[in-house]
Amino acid sequence: MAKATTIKDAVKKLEEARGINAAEAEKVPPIEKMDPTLSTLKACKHLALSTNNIEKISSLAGMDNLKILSLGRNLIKKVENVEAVAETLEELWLSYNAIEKLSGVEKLANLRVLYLSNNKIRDWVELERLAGLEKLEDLLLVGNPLYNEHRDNNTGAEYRVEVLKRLPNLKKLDGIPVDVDERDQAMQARGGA
Amino acid sequence: DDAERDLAAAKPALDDALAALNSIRPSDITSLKALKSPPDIVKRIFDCVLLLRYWPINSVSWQDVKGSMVIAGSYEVAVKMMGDMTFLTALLNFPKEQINDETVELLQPYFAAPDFNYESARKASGNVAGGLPAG
Repeated sequence: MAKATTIKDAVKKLEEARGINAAEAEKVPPIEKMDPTLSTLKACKHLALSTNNIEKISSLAGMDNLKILSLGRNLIKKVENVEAVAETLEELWLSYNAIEKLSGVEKLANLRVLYLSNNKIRDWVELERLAGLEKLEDLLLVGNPLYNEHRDNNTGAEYRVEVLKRLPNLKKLDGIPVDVDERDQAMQARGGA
Repeated sequence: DDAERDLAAAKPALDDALAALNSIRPSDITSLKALKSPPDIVKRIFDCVLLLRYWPINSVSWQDVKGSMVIAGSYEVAVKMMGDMTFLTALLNFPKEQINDETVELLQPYFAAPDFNYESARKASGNVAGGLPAG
């Protein structure tokens, strides 16, 4: 196995392949380790780092235009060091990692989309941490212990109401639009009108 | 308008995909399951199905296959998926409208491999190649 690609190498390779200047590019293909070279990607709106072996989120400072942070299929355990992009970040793609707790996500006040399929979320308290994210409308939890347990017990409908009880602003859950009935049920469960 | 033109452009791809699915018979799956170690490209094809269905998949590792670095398939999970009697029906009823941009990105490293096309998959595996781009 060759040694890991650094972000510097990847940026150089990308520039050569596409004949562009990465500092002005809006989309960057997969690279292996997050390091401060990322701060040069000033125009990047969508950072694609999925399908790698990244263990830690770091070095996002300076990515002033980042809207979509894509880190699916890595080895990430925590959502950390995201404060630097909290003002611009709208979508966080983290499926196929090893995330158990969602602390850290609550700092992303402008988050609209959160993809978390196939992680290790098992407790409702983790979803309660997201309750302050008023713009969050699209959440994906398929393949987490919390989801699988309900799927295996044929209580998928109850699961959806339980999620909506905690996150009443969701428009889409697990790829399926939230319908009026389940929204009403969730509101009643919350003790609302 | 734009939306209708895009829709018309996407229709042939959808028709092709459905035709490819319809060409797979339960006996194809049975004979595939009988193989102890299927061709590498078959393992990668099934990784794509796992990702589209949000099934578990191994953490990524790369291997050299005939001179290009490709992702090692999570075939033990695929075998589990094929063991479900409703597997083919589930594919035929696959909720296409639920595919999101993240999944598309997760498929891209597979599509980038030079051998990931219908011809080489068909040579290796017959009908199970269905769904791959021709040529």
